Amino acid sequence: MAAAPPPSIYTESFNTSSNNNIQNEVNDNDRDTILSGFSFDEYFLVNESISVIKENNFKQIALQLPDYLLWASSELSNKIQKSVPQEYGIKVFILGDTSYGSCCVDEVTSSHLKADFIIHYGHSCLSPEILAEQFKNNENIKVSNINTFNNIYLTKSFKNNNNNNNSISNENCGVSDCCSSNNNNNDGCCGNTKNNDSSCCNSNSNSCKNNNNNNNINNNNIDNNEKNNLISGRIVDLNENDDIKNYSFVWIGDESLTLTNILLNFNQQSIYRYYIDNNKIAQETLPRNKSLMRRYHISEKCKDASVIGIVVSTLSVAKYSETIDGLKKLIISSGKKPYVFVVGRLNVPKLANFSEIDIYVIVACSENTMVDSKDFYKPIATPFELNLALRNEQWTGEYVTDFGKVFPKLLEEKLESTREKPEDEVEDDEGNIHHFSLVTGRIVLQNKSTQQQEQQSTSGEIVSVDNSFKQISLVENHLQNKTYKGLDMRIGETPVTAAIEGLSGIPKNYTSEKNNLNK
Amino acid sequence: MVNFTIDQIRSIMDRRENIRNMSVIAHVDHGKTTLSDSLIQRAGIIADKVSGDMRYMSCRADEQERGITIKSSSVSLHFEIAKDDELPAGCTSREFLINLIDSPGHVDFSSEVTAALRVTDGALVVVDCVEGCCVQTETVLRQAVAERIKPVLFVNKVDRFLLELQLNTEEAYISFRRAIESVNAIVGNTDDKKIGDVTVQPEKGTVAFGSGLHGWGFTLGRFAKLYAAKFGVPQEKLMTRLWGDNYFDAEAKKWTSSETSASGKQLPRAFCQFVLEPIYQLTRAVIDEDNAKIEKMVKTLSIVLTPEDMELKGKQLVKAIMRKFLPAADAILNMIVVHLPSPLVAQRYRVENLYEGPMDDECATAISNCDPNGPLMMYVSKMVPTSDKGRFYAFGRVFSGIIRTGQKVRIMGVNYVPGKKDDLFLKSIQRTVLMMGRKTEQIEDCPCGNIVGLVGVDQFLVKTGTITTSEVAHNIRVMKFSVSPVVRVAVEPKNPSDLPKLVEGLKRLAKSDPCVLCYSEESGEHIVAGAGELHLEICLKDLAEDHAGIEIKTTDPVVSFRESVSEESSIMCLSKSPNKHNRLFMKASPLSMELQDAIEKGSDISSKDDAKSRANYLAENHEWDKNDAMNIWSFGPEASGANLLVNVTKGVQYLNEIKDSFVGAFQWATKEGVVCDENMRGIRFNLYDVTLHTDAIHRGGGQIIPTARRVLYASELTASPTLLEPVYLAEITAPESAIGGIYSVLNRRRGIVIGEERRIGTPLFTVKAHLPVLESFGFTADLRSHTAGQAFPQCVFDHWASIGVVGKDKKATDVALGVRKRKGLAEAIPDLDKFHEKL
Repeated sequence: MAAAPPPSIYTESFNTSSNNNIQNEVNDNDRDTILSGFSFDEYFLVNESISVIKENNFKQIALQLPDYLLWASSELSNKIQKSVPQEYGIKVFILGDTSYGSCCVDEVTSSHLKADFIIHYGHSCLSPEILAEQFKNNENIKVSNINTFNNIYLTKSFKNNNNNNNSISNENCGVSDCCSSNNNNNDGCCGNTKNNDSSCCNSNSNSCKNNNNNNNINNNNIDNNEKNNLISGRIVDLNENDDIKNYSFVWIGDESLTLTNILLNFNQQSIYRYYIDNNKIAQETLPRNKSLMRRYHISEKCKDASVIGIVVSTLSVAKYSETIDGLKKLIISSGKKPYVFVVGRLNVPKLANFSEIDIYVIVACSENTMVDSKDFYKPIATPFELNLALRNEQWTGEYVTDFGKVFPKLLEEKLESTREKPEDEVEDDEGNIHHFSLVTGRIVLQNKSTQQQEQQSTSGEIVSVDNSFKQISLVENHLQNKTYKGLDMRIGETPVTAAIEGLSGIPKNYTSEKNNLNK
Repeated sequence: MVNFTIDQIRSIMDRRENIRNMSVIAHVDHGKTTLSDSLIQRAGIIADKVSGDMRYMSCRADEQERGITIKSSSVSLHFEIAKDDELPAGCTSREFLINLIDSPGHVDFSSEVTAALRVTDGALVVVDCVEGCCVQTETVLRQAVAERIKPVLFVNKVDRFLLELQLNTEEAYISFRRAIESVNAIVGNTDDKKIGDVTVQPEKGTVAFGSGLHGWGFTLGRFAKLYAAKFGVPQEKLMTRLWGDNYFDAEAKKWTSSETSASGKQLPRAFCQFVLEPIYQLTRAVIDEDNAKIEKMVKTLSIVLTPEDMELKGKQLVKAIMRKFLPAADAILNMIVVHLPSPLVAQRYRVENLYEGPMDDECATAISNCDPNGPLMMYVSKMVPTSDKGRFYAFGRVFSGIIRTGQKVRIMGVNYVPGKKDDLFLKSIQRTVLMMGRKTEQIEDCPCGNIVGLVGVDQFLVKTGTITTSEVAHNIRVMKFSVSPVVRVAVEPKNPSDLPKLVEGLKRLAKSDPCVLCYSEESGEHIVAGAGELHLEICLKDLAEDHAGIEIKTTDPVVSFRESVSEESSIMCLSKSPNKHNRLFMKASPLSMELQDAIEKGSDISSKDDAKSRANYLAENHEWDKNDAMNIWSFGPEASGANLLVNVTKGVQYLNEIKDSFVGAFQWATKEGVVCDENMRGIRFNLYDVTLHTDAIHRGGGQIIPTARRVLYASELTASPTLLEPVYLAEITAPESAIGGIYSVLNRRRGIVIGEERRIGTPLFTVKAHLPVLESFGFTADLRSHTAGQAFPQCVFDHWASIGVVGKDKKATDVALGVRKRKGLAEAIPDLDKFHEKL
């Protein structure tokens, strides 16, 4: 499959390779594997989409496709445009080049288009969207997710690694993407049974459909999001006394970021995966010690950093701006300096432009928040890791990828008395706090003196004169270590030379270049 | 019991000429700790009865169990020189303070010895008279002389000559002489004018003989004093006659240097006749249970035996009589006081070795004069765990000034650069303590010349550092260890949620040992690296049991490799920036092994040198082009490693703008090489040409850093990349019969024998071989089983050697792929196409 899911915990949405050409032409083979036996209309649920559009009288329709489905975009838009009679006056747009991960609904672009209906194709992270809160006037924007196939089951009874399908019995709480999207637009524009998984999956999907009524799965209700029982955007209805920790998970479908995400978030529970192709169930494990250790390493690096960049990688997931504010406050109260970056899709050169930053923290949907920063000049942490590091909290082995769950903690005041002081943390006579870093093997300044801290925390949102002064001095410190400190005019010292002819052509291959080959 | 008080000690601490700081050094099992026991017993800290078996200085349970010393430990002793002995020059009081540090003998713990030597001025070298001067004796002696530490010698286990081996006196003399000669051979060939003569000579009183186990020992002075009256010859004169080719012709009643008397009779050597013979006779009498003779001899030697002693028999009686007759502690302490320098004397010549700054600033002057009124200068050489878990005493020596409780000091870590704020901390001293073996005693302050422990500064220092009150002070030079941590394991907690505990534990472990390296890698692996298998074993045990207190999993030991190149890049490598507007042209070539070593040693050439003098050095010693040498942009990794970035471009515009970005990328790339993410070593990167966009915005860090990294990788890949592995110098001591077994074990483990020699005077052979560290795991056990336990190996890291070209040689490729797999990298070594672009 063209969208082969990554085996690691890291997102591939931010592709880092520089020669990443969007495949314009997909050969028939690829197309067939993607469609996997379904017809084009069936796969993209064209008819259902049209009926929804007609029913709700949508006018501006935006189609959002991931890169691997882009080949279908023109065909799809034509079909939708043509199938609706002219008098409806609908307009279909294709949202090309989404600014962030393709799993998130690109609301910003569609609001530019004044779209009232977005059809999101492909895998979705189902992060709670900000929409209803922020664009009150636009309330009738509806989002429909299509082709998000995977199902998760919570099970108490499933303990042994058993191939028997029946062990997933009716008492299970069924959670499935299909169901949630179903409720999402209240009109069944995507059918449960029509996913492209092979037929043996149908029975499960059916049972899930049957359970649908009891489960009250609802993705639009934002109040519900505050509840704990939300798993990767899917709502689970548990009895009040039940704890999700008592359950095991069964994942139906292919490996995907959602699966790894669940593996990470529930790393102390057992998770099984149902293999559709060969009809078996096996326990799924992350090399979790390893992945967690790697993340912990990044978390440790946060402690050593003095300048932290906040990379905004979503403008649609709920509470993103609150999270950014929270992060800023936390960073400032730790005597470090935050900078906010909005760079669209992340790549190496973009972030390497800011060599002054010691570490970045990314605000992105839960499936894109783990960035493999191996190729990046400076590592990229998640809000959870930063919070852990700067508060110096004891890490208990849990992991939260959803910043919506982290951000309430960010806002908590730092309470010095409540937490235990790590033994390597020490305050010198000037009130600066240092700690011994295993990453660099040195004693590192962790927190600036409490006096400065107080000053900063009282100043709140407004940057005081003192703070702006500090900002300048901080850059100055950095400048001291540089050999190049900016243009040096040297007027009158540089000899005047005649202009010479430069290169011509495009930089990829200048016209003069053929001659250079033998150099 | 204790025959001195802390107040007494504190009062001597002010009299610098009456202080002796000394360490006990020797090969493993030559009896350092046992000997220290008898010295401590003399001071009344432990009972007479248990001396010799107590191992007071071994504080740890595993040290007691294994019978080896792991950590060096310090004790302060009070010694009063006998009334009839002459005072050393400059001393006015008979009371002396001896700070004694017992050090481990196993090679894996050599770093502890280094830390001990740094804070002392003299060394008591202990040599087993049967085994002679061994490998580790040699290593530590060299180190001592390099640190300008004066040695005195104690020839130990003389009782074995008498009781086990039954050598005659002449044979014994020859053994002694050989031991002394071999020590002098090591210390004698340093022509260090400042410290003066460091050879040991019995006739000068710098050699003592005896038995630590039995608690007796003597210098020639002891016997000279005994006979001086009888012969009517001055003591000094007699001492020279009691050693060497001197004979006493009893018939002619005169001294001669020929071994036959005037009448042609064979004469016994004076040493044998006057020194060894009485001891032999005494021993023989006891063994033969000739009570009448014993009584007579005891009486002539005016030894008073207690009734309990009288009941003893055999060896026990020998021990009792001998330690009354020739108490080891008196002989040794006397030797130490008379022949080892006081801080006042020693610091005058040690200052050059100790201080990094200019020799004429206030700190250097104060150190040189050991001036209590000067600025405080103290060197912390190691951390000693306290009873408070996770906290340490900073153990070190005050070189000038006085350190006080509550005093505000500047704590300077190893990375401190004068004038900058890096690695500098201001803090007040919480407490100062005197280290007394297992115990500590609090003292108000501590003047220069003394060894002291500090409370409250441990958290500002990783392992070592300088403590001062002077704002202009430079660091006291970092210690150079003879071992390096080349054997490493990755550790992880059994339970992932224990990770923070593990990290805490690793931090504690890193502090508690001068040599161990604890760090976390990019992959999230936590690495513990030690000098050898035993060292690592002890460290991991400490980590699991004490420091972290959790169950840990350890991987099999792995070694760290280095990525290097063997040829110049086959093509000119080019990488274009993401916007294609900037191009970097580069080639890599190997640096000579000598230069790599010199850079890593850091004495002849380092990144801190002035560019001009560095260029001169490179041009003169390593045949570099002077222009190239002037244009070294950076050393890497960590700005000090053995890779060089050289700018050989001519007249490129804006080049200075990208230098910082380029150097940043160079540091990054040399730290994580392209082959398997290991450090690079010995690569010279030449930047040949650069095309840059004319607008500054298009040639910023974002464009340059990733591109520079790629071109560095491309250059490495095209220059026949090799992997270097660490190689031990293994020295194996074994009897002739075991040699065959040694060779077969070495052969199987890719070992290369570089020398084999017989140890003169012993049935033992020493085989020297180069053994890859990779193959050394389980080597000791393997060797023992193949030689019936007769071979004793000692491995020290020696050099880096190439395994072969990656991609060409199977071995090298396999190793590289293995490392990649372990680190969780993409399995194949990346293609050149990823980094190099065609025009």
